[in-house]
Amino acid sequence: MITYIIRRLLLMIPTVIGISFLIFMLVALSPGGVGAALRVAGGGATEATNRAVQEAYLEDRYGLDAPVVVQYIRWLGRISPLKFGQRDQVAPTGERISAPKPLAMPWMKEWLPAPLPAVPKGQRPWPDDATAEQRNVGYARASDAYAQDRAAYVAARTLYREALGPYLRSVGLSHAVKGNKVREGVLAKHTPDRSSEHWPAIESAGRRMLATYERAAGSRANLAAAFEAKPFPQAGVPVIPGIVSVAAPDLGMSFARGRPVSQLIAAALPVTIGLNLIAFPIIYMIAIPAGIASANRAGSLFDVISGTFFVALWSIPTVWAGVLAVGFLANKDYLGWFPVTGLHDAGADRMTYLPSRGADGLWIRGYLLDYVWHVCLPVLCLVYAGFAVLSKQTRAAMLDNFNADYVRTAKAKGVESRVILFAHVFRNSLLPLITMFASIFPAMLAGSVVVERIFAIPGMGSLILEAINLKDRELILANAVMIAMVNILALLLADILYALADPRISYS
Amino acid sequence: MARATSTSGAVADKPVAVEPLIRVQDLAVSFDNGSGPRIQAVDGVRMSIYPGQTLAVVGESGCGKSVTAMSSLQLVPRPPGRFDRGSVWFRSRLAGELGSSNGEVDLLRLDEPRMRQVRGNEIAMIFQEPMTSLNPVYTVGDQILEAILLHQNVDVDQATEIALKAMRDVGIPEPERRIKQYPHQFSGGMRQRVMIAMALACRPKLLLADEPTTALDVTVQAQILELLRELQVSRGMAMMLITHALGVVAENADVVCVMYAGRVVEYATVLELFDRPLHPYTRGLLASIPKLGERKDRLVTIREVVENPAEFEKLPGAGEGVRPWWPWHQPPKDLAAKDEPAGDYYLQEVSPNHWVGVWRTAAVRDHQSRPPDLAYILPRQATGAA
Repeated sequence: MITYIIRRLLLMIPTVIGISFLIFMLVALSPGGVGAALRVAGGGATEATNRAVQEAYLEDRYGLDAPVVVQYIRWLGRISPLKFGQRDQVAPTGERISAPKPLAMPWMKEWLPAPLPAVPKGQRPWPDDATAEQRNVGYARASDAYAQDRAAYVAARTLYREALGPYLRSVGLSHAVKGNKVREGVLAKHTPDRSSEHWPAIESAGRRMLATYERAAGSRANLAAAFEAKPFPQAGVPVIPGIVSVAAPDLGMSFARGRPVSQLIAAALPVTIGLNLIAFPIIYMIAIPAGIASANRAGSLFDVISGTFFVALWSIPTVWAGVLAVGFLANKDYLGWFPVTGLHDAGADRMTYLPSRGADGLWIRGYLLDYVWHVCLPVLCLVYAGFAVLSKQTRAAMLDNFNADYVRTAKAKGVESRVILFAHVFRNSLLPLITMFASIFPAMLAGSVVVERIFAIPGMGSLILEAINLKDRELILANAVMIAMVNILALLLADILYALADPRISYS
Repeated sequence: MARATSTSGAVADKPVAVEPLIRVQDLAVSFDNGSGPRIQAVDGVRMSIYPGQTLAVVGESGCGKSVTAMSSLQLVPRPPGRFDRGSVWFRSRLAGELGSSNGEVDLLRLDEPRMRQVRGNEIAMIFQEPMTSLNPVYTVGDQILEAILLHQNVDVDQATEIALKAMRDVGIPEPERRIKQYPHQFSGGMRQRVMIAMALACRPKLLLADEPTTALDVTVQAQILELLRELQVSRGMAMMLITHALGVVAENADVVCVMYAGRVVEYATVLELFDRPLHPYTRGLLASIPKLGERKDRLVTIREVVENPAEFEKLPGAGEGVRPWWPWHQPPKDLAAKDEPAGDYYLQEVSPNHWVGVWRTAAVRDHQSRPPDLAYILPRQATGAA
């Protein structure tokens, strides 16, 4: 059994890699590509050159300039708990800090007016006896400086590429610039005509590129030195020091929100789990007894009415049900029994946890009751459609077993029909219910997009919808991989439960 | 007709208990068939079993033999099933409690709590499919214990002892280990032994064995029947052995009841039946069995026998117009059906201690045979180890 579980867990790795590859490609290859939402931000009036500079900056910043497969492998390296090379450091904000990104070389060194400057040795921006505060500030400064200088260099590099355009067109080599890349291989065979009318523009752009490169390389060396000095605690545990370490997966920064994805999920997940921890027991506690009772008296009035009722509920679209619930039960003009949106009143932070009597002698409902009151309608919308499938499954499984030979044997032994119902029939009907559980469980973490939107609940459903709308790659990928893993784990859990429920199943 | 006392020779060999343990009287059971007419599974069945006796009920699938046995324990699902008429009188411990003067209770009319006291306790039943008749999710020990704890006033330790002994009695090796195992860890024959151990753990007076060996291979069949015979002799238990294998009947039964289409067509002691089958259907059954050492290109089918009109003229009294009942025939011209259910049919004692189902023709219009009732146990040599 243990070996089986370990084998299954190891099998998860290729599965998750496969799933994440598919999702990564879907996001990356969708119209507009990754970060399309960021690019649109410029507006129509921007000049072509400015837009090119802006685009180059964003692509450089988010690493979108590399081929998609390379981007994927980088992402996989971040998400993998096994890390190679220098260990990351964890800033006090929770952000994962890696070694500074390498700097791309200027294009066509041979064409430049001056040779490439040597990269200076970096200076750690704090004294030996610096306090943690000083290191913190020092690192932040070095980091900002590198970001600025790198951005200037990327802009100058882009302008250089743009400046090459008119000259290359005049000598019939316009194919040497393709998209945001300069194909140096094509240009290497070409002897530049330095007397061309376009050459001065290239020369001045090249000078600027060199100058910004020198500054960027210098500030990168400083940042690298600062990083080497390890101003922050290192992430994870070393396995082979300096080469391999194990650390928690780095889910990256959300493009749209500018916060670590792990923080966003950590904020949204408890909301969704809290809702589902109320909703799922309600579904199970109503649907399973109803299914048992229906099976026990198949064809009876209760069977017919409960079956019809549950299927009718199941047929109501959640969107409509939610709007009706808000319109009738929450609207102050009608009943107004429940709040319309959110999980808490504005003043809930100041409430006591349990209901209590305030200083003025009035009852304060307290944080807990406030929560319960707010989730009534969302939970109603989450549960009403769930009864049908589960109760029908229970009923069908029970009916299958009612006609089994061992039930006849038990009757012939003189066993009471109630005992037969629960100890013999229901016990044998558990397998389909376990299967149901395995399929429902991941939904517990994924959240319901519709219900969370209607009631403005900041749960996983809202988060995922937002991520998809903004094409926030890191957030989409983190969610998808998490849900995939939970799915796989739920299936594994179901398989373990099968073995517990049915002695005929064993994995050894 | 007067009550025959002897003459048939074999019957008088070994007189046993005077009173039958169970008497099935005019039992009729029908099933709802949705929109169509009700299906009459059993119609006017009569039989009786004496303590220590084995009654074999023979017939093809759907002839009503299982329904007869299941009705005795009220195991027929109702609805769609329904007891139309008749009664099943059983000599029960409950008789005193129910104020029965002759010690018999009608099993068809017991309420559910009392019925449960009979099931598995005074009457036990084993089934055809040992593969599916045990609950797959409980150990065999749990399942045997369930029966013991229900009917005997013992604690779990004592019950375990009883279960171990029962398993030992039915020849399950290493019962201490096997009692903790699940049904799927047993072979087919071993599972049937578990079923028998479970059925016999409470020492029932009557065992209903519904084709106990049909699903097993031939050598295991022989072992299981041997085991049942030994246990029956050592405990003086009565048994209703439902089967369609006439070889099983010949070796195990004392009295045979042949059924067809829900009615008894012939009823006699095992020797009498095999020596002198009177109903064409019984003759067809016997003719269709291959005999060891006899060369034949093809066997006679039952059909060939029952489709031969001459076969229906051989009954004693055929001259006076006594015709064997056969559902596929047009009723004879001189039918004098009584105005009651199954009034066209009559189970006549055509010769002493030998009953045949006949048409209620004018010749037997006012006959009133005694119901089939044979207190006969075939004397056998003790087989195998005791």
